[in-house]
Amino acid sequence: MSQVRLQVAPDAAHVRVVRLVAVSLARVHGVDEDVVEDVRLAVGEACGRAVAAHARASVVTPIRLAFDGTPGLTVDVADGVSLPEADGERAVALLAGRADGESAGADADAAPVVMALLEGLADEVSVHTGADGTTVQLRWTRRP
Amino acid sequence: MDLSLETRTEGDWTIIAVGGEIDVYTAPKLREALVDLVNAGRYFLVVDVEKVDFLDSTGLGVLVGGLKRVRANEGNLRVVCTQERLLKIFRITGLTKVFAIHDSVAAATEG
Repeated sequence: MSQVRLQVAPDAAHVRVVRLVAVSLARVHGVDEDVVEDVRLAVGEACGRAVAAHARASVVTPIRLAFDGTPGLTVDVADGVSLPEADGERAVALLAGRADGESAGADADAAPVVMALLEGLADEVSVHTGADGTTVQLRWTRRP
Repeated sequence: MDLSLETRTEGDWTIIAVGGEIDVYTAPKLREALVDLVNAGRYFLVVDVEKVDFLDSTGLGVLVGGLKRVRANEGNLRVVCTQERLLKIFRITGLTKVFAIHDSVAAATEG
């Protein structure tokens, strides 16, 4: 197993850097070439979502990414903004704007599109939220 | 890579040829261009994304915003796209039902 960790300031200009790292690591870890573009877009979306969440909450701490080749690729995108009392399925629903009650924020209109893309592009998507922030985990398996 | 925008007029239509990457960082530039066109009374827009290498949800949001603006003025916004990886993004997000997507500028400006 190998691991790469990356911290970026919550700035939209850095999302492209994150995408390039994601593409490079997807290739290193043998993700199917047809799926590399999906990795590029999904990791960029998750990172862009985190940047927007930081901007809305005026949080300036870095966004933390962890890339694991397991084999395939697992990417954790962690921000510093917690969702209200949600985890697992409910957190996914909240991010997608599907849950009742509080929406994911002022940009709630964009949330369903982001979630649709993540779910459409990654083999598995999970969301965990706690007091210190929210982590979106994306997984791609290595196809035989 | 940055975003490039070239605008030209063909009859009632204004064609915006976009190149490069439309993402969370560059999309505001496209939004501004579309808003400026609508403010200048150009309500029939064709956004040609054939030379776009990358498009994310922010870019899609800008296109949807542009469509809303021109429709408010009884106009239209059509998209020119034949790149499969971009079409896939329109499909996943359900936007193939929202946008008229054409395979050439000539087809988009017809009728």
